[in-house]
Amino acid sequence: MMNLGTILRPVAGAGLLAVSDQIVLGATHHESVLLDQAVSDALGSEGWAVRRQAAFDACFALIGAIAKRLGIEGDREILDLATELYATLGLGQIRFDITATGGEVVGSDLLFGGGYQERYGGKSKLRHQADAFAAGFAAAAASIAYPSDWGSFEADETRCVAKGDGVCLFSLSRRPLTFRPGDGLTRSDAEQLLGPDAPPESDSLPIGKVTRDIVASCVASERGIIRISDCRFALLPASYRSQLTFDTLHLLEKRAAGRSPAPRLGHLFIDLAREASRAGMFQLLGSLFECAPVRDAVGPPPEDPHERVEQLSSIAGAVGWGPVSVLEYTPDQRLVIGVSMTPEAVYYAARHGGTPQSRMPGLQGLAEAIFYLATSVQWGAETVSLDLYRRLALDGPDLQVEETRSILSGDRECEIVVSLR
Amino acid sequence: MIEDAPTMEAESAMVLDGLAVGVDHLESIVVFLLSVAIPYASWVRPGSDLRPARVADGMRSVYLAAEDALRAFEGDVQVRHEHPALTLESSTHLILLHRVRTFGVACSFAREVPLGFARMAARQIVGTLEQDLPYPAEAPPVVQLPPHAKATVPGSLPAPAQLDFEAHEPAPDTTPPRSSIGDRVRTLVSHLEAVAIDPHVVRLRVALRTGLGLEALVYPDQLNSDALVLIETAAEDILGLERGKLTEVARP
Repeated sequence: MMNLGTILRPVAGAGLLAVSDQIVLGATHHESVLLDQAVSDALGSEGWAVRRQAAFDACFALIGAIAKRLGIEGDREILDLATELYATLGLGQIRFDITATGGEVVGSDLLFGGGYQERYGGKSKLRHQADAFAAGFAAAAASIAYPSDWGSFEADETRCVAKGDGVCLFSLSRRPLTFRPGDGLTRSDAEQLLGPDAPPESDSLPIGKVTRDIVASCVASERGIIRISDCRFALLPASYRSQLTFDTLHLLEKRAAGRSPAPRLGHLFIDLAREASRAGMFQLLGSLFECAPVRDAVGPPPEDPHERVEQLSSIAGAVGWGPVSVLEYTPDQRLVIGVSMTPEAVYYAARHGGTPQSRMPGLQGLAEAIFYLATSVQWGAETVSLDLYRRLALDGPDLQVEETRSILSGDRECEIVVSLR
Repeated sequence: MIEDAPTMEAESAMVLDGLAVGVDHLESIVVFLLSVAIPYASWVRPGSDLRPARVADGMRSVYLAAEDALRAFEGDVQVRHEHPALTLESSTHLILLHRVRTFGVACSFAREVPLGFARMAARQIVGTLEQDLPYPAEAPPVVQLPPHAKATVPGSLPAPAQLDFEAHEPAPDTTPPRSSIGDRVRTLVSHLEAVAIDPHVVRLRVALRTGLGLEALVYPDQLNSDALVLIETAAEDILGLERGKLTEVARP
């Protein structure tokens, strides 16, 4: 299995990460499971189709770009590429048993279904399938391997470990092609948003460089699992997460427009999407902050809270959130971060254009996670864990977050303010 | 003879749509009075040609006959703690017939429904109706008429009230009345917050899953039985429980 550094490349000037020409983001099983769960809460059974479509679109672009760059054309070769790519990214293991007319895909240790089991420890069983991402990925790979101008593949998950089955099983069949798969979220989308007069990218702190090296050196196990401490780590196409978030939000807003008075369901969904990001980034940034390679290179987490918050922001940049900087920090009171480019903004600008509305729940959750990690964790006395996060979420400082500036509304950078409620 | 004319005017304003949400194979719910063969409230799957008035007439006769027939086994029971339930199976329908106080409740399903599922779903529907249907003393007439004011008879006017500004009467209670549904919602949410794995997002999730919004959970006394079913279902989904497993928790 190759390491992530073999396929991971920086997007020059933007501070983002890409695999081939597709922008990707470091993720954990925590926010992956929680965001999918929020979509299910918002849309019920429709949520599966929205999640699967987002995965299909993102993965069709990702697999297609890699296959094109490497000149891979044969059906078996494309399926082998997809199988290896899936495991290399830390998403688990999939095995194709398909022909041009359809077939089955078996999945194990998948980031979403396996991640659900890992997160909830078998205490809770899902009532619906968890692996829409794997379904979309498998269908996209099959559609590229066996192209047809009549139709593409669609996958349904017939067994799922999150529901208590022993394995995840997908059934693939052809459906008429009613849409043209998009280009995903590409480097050029970021470069267009950056513009020619963008300031040069500033050097990140040493801890940011060390974190990039750690991520690049990650090698998935044979089961397609990457771990950073107790945290399962993977690279996900940034367009999956964003398409999922905004398609769901727009559906809720559209439906609310026809009702009067309408409950503010869009706001509730944004709150849950922010919570997903906060929970996942708390675990990921915290695990990286206290991991042995970082300690060896830059020492243990510093005593000075200002230094801590700077270092945590630098780690966030290194896992794909963009060049995050600390604009203001009053320990235990207020944190303001800024970022000139972030995957959510690139996606929204490319697909939907500018907006005066608050549209970055992921970045907001990231800012809250940094605040918690900088102010509420007794570094050296306690380690970052799911229990610690739950304790903080229940009894820790009650935070409020605001998106005060945004490149989507014409500002030069996005600005997020976290303060005590 | 009951006419099959539209019965909208005769039925109460009670809406049963919420009870039918998410229940596969359910064809109709007809609540009828056992004293007279008139439907009190009904829901019929769109596209179905079932007529609530005819269902009420037939099911009432069947239920009363069955109760009568049971006397051959049980003798004259003065007070029943549990009313008998009937299951009718035909080649096209499965009908479950229950009694709630002075009302009959007929739930009909398409024949392919698994019997166990139909029983569970019908029990859940009846459980909710037990909370919502009026008690005999308060049972309204089928068609409610505005109360007529009595004519004032000279000399019958009550003496004017004596105003006593010195009296220390307790201040009137302005707290909104608590409803049984509101109490059940509060119990459910508390239970979820106690046992769910991510308790800090439970309210958000219930508010979003049900589509009711957070306001509804803050002031649950205004909610109706349809909303309660949605909340119970959301709670079961969040905890990964089978349908109907939270019923006991919901009871005060």
